Amino acid sequence: MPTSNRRTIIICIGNELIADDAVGFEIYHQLAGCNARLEYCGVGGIDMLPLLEGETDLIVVDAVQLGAAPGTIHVIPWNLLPGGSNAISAHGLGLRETIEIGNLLYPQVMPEHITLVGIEGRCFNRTREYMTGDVQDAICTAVNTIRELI
Amino acid sequence: MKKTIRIDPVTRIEGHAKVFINLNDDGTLENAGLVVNELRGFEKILIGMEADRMPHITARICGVCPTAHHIAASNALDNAAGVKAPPAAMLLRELMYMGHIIHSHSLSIFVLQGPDLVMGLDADPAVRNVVGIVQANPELARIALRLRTIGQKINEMVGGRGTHPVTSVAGGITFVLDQEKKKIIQEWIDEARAMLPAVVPAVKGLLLNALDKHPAMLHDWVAPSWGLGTVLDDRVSLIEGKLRAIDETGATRIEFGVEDYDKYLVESVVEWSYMKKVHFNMNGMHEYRVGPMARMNAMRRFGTEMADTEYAEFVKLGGSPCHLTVFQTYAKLVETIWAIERADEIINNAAVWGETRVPVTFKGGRGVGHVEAPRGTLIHDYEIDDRGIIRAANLIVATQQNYAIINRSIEQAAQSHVIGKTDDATLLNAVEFSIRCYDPCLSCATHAVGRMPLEIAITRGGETVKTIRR
Repeated sequence: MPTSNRRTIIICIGNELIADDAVGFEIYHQLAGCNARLEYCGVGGIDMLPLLEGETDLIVVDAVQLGAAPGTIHVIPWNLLPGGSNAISAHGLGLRETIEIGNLLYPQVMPEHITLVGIEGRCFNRTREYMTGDVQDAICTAVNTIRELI
Repeated sequence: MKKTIRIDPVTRIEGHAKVFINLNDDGTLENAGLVVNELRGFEKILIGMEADRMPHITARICGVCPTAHHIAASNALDNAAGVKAPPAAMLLRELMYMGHIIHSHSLSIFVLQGPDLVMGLDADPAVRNVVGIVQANPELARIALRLRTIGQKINEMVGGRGTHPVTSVAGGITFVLDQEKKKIIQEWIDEARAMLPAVVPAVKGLLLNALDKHPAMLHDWVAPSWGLGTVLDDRVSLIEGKLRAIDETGATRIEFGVEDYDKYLVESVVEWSYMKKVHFNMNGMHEYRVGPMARMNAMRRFGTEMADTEYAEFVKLGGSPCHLTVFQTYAKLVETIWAIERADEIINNAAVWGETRVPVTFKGGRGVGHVEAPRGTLIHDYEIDDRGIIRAANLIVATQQNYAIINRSIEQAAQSHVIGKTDDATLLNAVEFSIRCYDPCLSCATHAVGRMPLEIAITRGGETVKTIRR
């Protein structure tokens, strides 16, 4: 597809009051004015699907815990994400399952390219002022990474 | 030889849950329960904050029931300040709340319990998930997710934000209704109403099918207990009214204002969990249930046509009071019907156009407020000083109150599907399904500010003999 026909939506996820989980919210603010439709979701999952309007590209920005060092920036195509949710609580739906559901139910609005930009976090049990230093330092790099993806 | 089976399906849930099932040497059940190992923290965080921030801050406790905390905090602040939010403000808070109920119950029925109902408890866990339900019944899934979205849109329009609403404040609400917004909300409500003829029989059919396949659920998964729900003129009511406690027979034992909750609801610590459990203290300590089924057991009518018609069907199948654990799903369905009808009533009530705020000053003192959260009674209790600063906070949430009954249901599931069975998948499915009937919100229950995995362990005489991971 020619570059001029590409349209990108960026969905930033995270609780702005919780230490490293706030990284998605911080990046959301720093991306203001970028060449993409920018949305913020306090909680991801199925809430993301109604936001899609047929863009060709989706970039999801969220804090992750994949076992790397805090502040590590992961750029992962959605089909390589771990799956297999079987939650006892309604909080249990992840990005991979959400995209699978979207592809099954709403193929007309689903993006062709979906990428997770995950910032490795460590602290999820304290308030915003306790964001890990390495995560705070990674925000600028993550923003540049996302701008290059657009 | 003693037996332990550990099951560690590490999933993306909020709240670190562990289920233990202890068997005696002879293989009979000794006991079972849900352990929650996350630090209780939110009540401490609130101390020192400005009271008027409570509706915004406490909404962040949970991404699934933020509107419940948002409105409960607002009600508590109204009471602390000695004001009554104007009728229009109460109606608009309730309209936001109906959106929340539609959203939350749709999520719970279709996303959480749907896979169990559509795929069956015996299905491979690899397909017994929400993606599986979409593949198996895409049309129902499409309708269900649209219903959920409509609820969220109503919540978002009135609440200012969908996930963490911001408009309800001490003394009223900042949302202002206009004709354009009314028109949009009315269209959403009409669309939701139009879905009911397809959704209601489909969900009932799935539930009855599951009971056919697992008749033990109908006969053995019965948990008679006291119940607690909010009523207003004998009707179910979610954001205002008196708390009514009923006993196992359905007889009303007492009605009280939420400010007296600590006369009757007694929290206690258990050594194996950070989640405090709550008993009802009246002529002895009683286990009790909160949530959709408890509310239906406590009220006499919904007061809307379709909901009351479906409630009559519910009673025919499940009795009154109903103590069938798996009928929690049916109760959520009836409440969803009612929430759509009630939203319609509110948006067409002339009183909704009135004044929406009154001035608020905190002179120092205590404020207790509550709502009926999707999962059950939620109480916020604040001590506020004369500068409007929070000096103490106590939150009683639904999952705490259901804790004793959840543990009893786990024991019943273990009895019917675990003891003497060798099929690990069925074992795990049954135990998890029994918990899912209560849709526990473990972040709320511990007021945690984190995310944690699940672990299930079965022991026999104290020794682990088996570990199952998913």
